[in-house]
Amino acid sequence: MRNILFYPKLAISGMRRNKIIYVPYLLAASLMVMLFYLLVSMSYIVNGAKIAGGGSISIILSMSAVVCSFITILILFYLNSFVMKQRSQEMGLYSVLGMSRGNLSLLLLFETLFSLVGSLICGIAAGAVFSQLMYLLLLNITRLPVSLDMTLPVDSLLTTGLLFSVGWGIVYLKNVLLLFRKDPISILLSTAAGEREPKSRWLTALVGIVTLTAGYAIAVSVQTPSMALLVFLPATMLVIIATYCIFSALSILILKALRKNKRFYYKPENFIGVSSMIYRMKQNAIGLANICILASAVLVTISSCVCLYVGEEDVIKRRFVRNYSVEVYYTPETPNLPAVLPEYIGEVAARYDLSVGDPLLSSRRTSYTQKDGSTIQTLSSPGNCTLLYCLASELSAYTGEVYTLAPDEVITYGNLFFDGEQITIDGKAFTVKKNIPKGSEKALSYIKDTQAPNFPILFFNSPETIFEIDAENSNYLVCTYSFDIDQEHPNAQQFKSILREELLEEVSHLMSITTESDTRDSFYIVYGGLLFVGLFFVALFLLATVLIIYYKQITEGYEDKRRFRIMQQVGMSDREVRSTIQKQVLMVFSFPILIALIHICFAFPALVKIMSLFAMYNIPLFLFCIAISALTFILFYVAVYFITARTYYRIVKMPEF
Amino acid sequence: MPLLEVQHLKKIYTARYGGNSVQALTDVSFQIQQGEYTAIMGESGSGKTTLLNIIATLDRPTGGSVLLDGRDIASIPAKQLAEFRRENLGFVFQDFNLLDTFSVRDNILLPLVLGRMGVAEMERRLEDIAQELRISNILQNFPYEVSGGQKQRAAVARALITQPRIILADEPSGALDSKSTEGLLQSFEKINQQGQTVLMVTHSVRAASHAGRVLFIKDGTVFHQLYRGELSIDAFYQKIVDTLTIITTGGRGNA
Repeated sequence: MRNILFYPKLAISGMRRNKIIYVPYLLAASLMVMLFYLLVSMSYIVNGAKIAGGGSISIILSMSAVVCSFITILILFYLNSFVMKQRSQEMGLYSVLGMSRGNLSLLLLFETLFSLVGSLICGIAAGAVFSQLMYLLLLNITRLPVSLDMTLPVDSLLTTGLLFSVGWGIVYLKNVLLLFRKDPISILLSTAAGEREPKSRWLTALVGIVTLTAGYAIAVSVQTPSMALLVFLPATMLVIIATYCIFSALSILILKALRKNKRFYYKPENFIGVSSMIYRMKQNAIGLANICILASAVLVTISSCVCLYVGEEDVIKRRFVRNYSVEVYYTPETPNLPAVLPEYIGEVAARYDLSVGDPLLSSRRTSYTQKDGSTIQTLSSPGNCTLLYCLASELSAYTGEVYTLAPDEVITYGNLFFDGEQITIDGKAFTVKKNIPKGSEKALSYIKDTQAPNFPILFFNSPETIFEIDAENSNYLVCTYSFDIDQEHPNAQQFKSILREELLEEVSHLMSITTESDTRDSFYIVYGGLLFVGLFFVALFLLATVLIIYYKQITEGYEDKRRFRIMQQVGMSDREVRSTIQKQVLMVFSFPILIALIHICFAFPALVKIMSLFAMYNIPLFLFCIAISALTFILFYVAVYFITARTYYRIVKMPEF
Repeated sequence: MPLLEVQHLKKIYTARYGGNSVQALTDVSFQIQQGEYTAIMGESGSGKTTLLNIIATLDRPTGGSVLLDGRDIASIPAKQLAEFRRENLGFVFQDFNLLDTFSVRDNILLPLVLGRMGVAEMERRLEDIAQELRISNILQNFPYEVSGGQKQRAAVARALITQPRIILADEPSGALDSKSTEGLLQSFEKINQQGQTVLMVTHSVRAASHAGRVLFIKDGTVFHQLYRGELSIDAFYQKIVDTLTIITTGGRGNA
């Protein structure tokens, strides 16, 4: 009589018997379901809530969900390969007992189904519980106005269900394919064969050293932020390759060299450790390299996200010396705009009983040029020299020193020019009346106050002179009028909206109105959103790291079992066995994190440059963020270490019968 | 004083949660003198391996005692058991129990390294033993690269290198072909002739016939014993076979 419940029952009992493998597997899968569900449902909720500024967050969230789904499937595959490796013995046994491959596929189908349904239910339930909390957290760190409504987005349920069904479907197909390609009986018999000692792979080790040196050299030698952005990915790639080579080849070479040193090697502390580490490294090189790379990714991600978020105020302070900044452009047809603008704004402020404080007017134009000695030729796209054209009158007004210039005279700032130099711009001759060297205090504060980019500057006598340079292509100047408005004043909010409205109507050639408060809001939305998503990815990376470590240890525990039994018979005490295990586990554990920390150290200069692209110049803060992230990561790591070492020891000590 | 004295040894295995208990050893007593080569024979389940494990301090008896050089091994504190095993006992197992992560050389040196012996002394000992057991040429190889007979001789070398009081061998020829078995048994004889005490558990008549004395265990007690005396190996072989036939057909021994 055929019992239709036979396979489901067999599947469940198989999973229960292997709970040391399946419990973490299902736990991890449930967590991944939860994380994915949270990301997707957040994006739906934010989208549905129609909050101002919610759009960009929704985009960040849904983009992250896509990336997250790829990583999730990768992790699923990785986990599955561990689980199947442990179960291959059992499959072989069933096969010997007369189950066909079709029967085994059916058994696997039920196991997969149970895993899928179980983790979906647990994950989504946990996700639903946490989603409101997460939503609150999201609103909190992005400082969006709270509008909490209890919703259970059906769409996100479906998306999550679909992703994981597809993911597990692929995993199942892979397992069945494997079942048909490899004879389960041969798997059962093959495990007894001893494993070969790994070969010394000098070439791989050499490649590792070369790529590592190259990657580090590139990262350290980066000079400018744009350069850093350009080379960061190639450098990272080099270091990733180097990491794999180091873990797989260099480590074995070093261990073998240690083994050659008789005085070191023939000590109880080192004897077993070194010889079995050689095998451990052979089997675990890739896993450990993965952990190392994941750890580096986690540290970089979380520390830069936190740093940007925490450092927002800093950035805003730097960006806004004055809390309002209005930009217009003017041409030969509207030469008096710089005079009219302050007057007009002053009137509007007066209407609201406000006064314009600390006003600053500055005009400039950025010009791409080709500089050849004293000959400058303007270009339409970047050449070898980018210059700023400014007005000497405005510099005089700022510094209080009076500069009077003839139309063919310029004052220069930067190290490109010298006093009395004769220069030509597009064939027109100018005399450098005075060069202010780079780093001069007053010039620096002028640049800081006017928010000018850090280029060499030419100060001319009048706007007309500047208009004439490259007149066909760009006969304009950008004028920035920045000022302070008392934000505590009751009319401040009203003034902000009215000013925008009126300027849009009244002033021609208006480019932008930026206020400190608007910028702060959008910064919090973008960086808060990034931080939120960053936390999700860190959770995912950590999950992957922990699982890799856990399964590595379990797999090894089973393999080391016989080894330690022999050692006890030959005369090793229980304590010696325990300390040997701890030493090995610790070595395996600390290796990747150590290398990851070294990677971060070398990446630091380049990371600092990249952060400056986000207007983040607070290096101590960044350093602090990295240190805190690293410390937290290490603590977490140590906790996992203790749990894993215990499980490992329990397996090794498990009685044979 | 005998080297090893086993007195009224009793071992009862009880299932962890009550249930049935199995009496592996009922009452086993015998003595082994310094330099003796003794084989213990018995069918599967007769309690041979249990007996060996108790002597090896890998298992604790339910009753009775084991004295080595007059010292009760039960009195050795748990912490010193590993050291005791390392210094006084040498093990040879059926499945060799060599570590596949070590070369043959390192496998043999393992107990000495655990005992923190100096490299020079270790190498001196290794050289002698390897020559004697004809494994000098495979010392650098790994266990998976050498034959079963060579593996077992390496295991014997590992047992001998600590210069133990007694070698305990559990079915040492069980996984070997007849030619390798012969070589191994000759090795045992040779080390015995040099004064090494050997206690071997086996159910191979061929292996037992090389010993100086054979103890037969049945149902947890020493049922009978034979001395080889001046007999040739083949004659002793015949005598063991005859005894086994009597035991299995249920007749009473003539001890």
